[in-house]
Amino acid sequence: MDTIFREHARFVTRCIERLVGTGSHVDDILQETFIAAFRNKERFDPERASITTWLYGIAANLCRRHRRGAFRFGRLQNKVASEAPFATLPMPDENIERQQSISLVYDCLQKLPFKQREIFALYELEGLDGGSIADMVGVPVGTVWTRLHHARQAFVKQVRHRTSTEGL
Amino acid sequence: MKTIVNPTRLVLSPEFGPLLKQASNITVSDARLEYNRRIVSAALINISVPTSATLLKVITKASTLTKTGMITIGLVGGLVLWRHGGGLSSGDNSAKPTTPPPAVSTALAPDPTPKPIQPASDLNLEKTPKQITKKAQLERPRMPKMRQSGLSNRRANQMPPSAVAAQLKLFHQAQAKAKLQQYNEALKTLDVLERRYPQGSLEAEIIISRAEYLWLAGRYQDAANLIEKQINNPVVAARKAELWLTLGDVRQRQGSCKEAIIAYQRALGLGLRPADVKAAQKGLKRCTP
Repeated sequence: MDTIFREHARFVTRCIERLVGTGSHVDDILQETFIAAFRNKERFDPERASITTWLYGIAANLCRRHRRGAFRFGRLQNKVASEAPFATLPMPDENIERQQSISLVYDCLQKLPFKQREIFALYELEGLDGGSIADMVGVPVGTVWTRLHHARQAFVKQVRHRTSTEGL
Repeated sequence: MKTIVNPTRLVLSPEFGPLLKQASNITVSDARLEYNRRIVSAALINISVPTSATLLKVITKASTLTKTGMITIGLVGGLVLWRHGGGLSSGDNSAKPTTPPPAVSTALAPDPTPKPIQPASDLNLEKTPKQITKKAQLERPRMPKMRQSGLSNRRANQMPPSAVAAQLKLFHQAQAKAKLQQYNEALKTLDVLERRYPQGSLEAEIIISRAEYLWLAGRYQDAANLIEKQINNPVVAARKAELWLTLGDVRQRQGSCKEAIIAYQRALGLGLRPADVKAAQKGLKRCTP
């Protein structure tokens, strides 16, 4: 499990951040993802999907649950609370200007519907191709392009609006 | 999972490229990952995934332990009681009770003298009959709920016959007469229609048709008066453009081109059907020197 975590945790963290925004809940969802993956390891079929796809599917479902407000930390809650909070750890982003740009992108992403957001994040930010995204999300490739088209339109509109109103 | 550089990506556009590149180049720190890994490992150690076989073993063990424990407790308890009661060491086999019989047992013991069985009527076990009120007696007996047939439903909810068909019939008559260039007859039919069904469903159509027939009949002033009177009527709000077009035609025939141009422009501004647009443009051309 350690090997899988080291290999895929970065990707899963990035995906979660893009789906639910930054914050301590990202770490909670990441932990929950790997715990859920370990619990249901019997269900994983390597012929059906890659491990990245599988982990992404779990993470995306947890993000949806988090968005609906029905997310529960369960047994992890006490453990996480007893540990030192992650906020004390050094953040990777030190440049303020860069931080602003990133927060602008994330804020605009949060305005998109979940289905469009995940496609946009995987295509534009992760750099994956349409076929891979279709496999990961479980929709036809045509649907990926449609959602991407709408997501781009909404994102561009949002960014332009923010930059014009806030002068970023 | 392939990473393909697609030229249509928004990342490659000059406007959003730098912004998205910064967001896509986010690095997750090792410290953060290590923190999460520790928590996940700690959680996974505590989680034992029980298979059916292990579950069966655990249940069997638990039940065996419980059984053994119960037997042991029973044996020890019995031995203690036996010791307390004297046991075999007293040498007396008459089995006298060492302790006085408890009062509770006496009280609960059955009475040896049989009592006569009380009649059921005395015990008030019979169900009390429901009191029948006057209202209940007068009410009709409740019938089981049955689904009414479609026919009876239809009869119950019968709507009054619609007047739209009759209105349309008269309106079509007027149109037919107008086609035959009998505009005055057509106007009379419209009068009948309006008298019979005031504020009917075809109110807007009647106003527009009346204006048109008046214009076609050569009664320009009547047509202009009617249009100017009805132009702000909310009934014809959706079809104002047609009225403006007719007014333009009327004014043009009357020789007041200034007013005609204004009317045509209003009609074009409100939006006309393609055929009417052409008519309005033609009228405008005629009015402009």
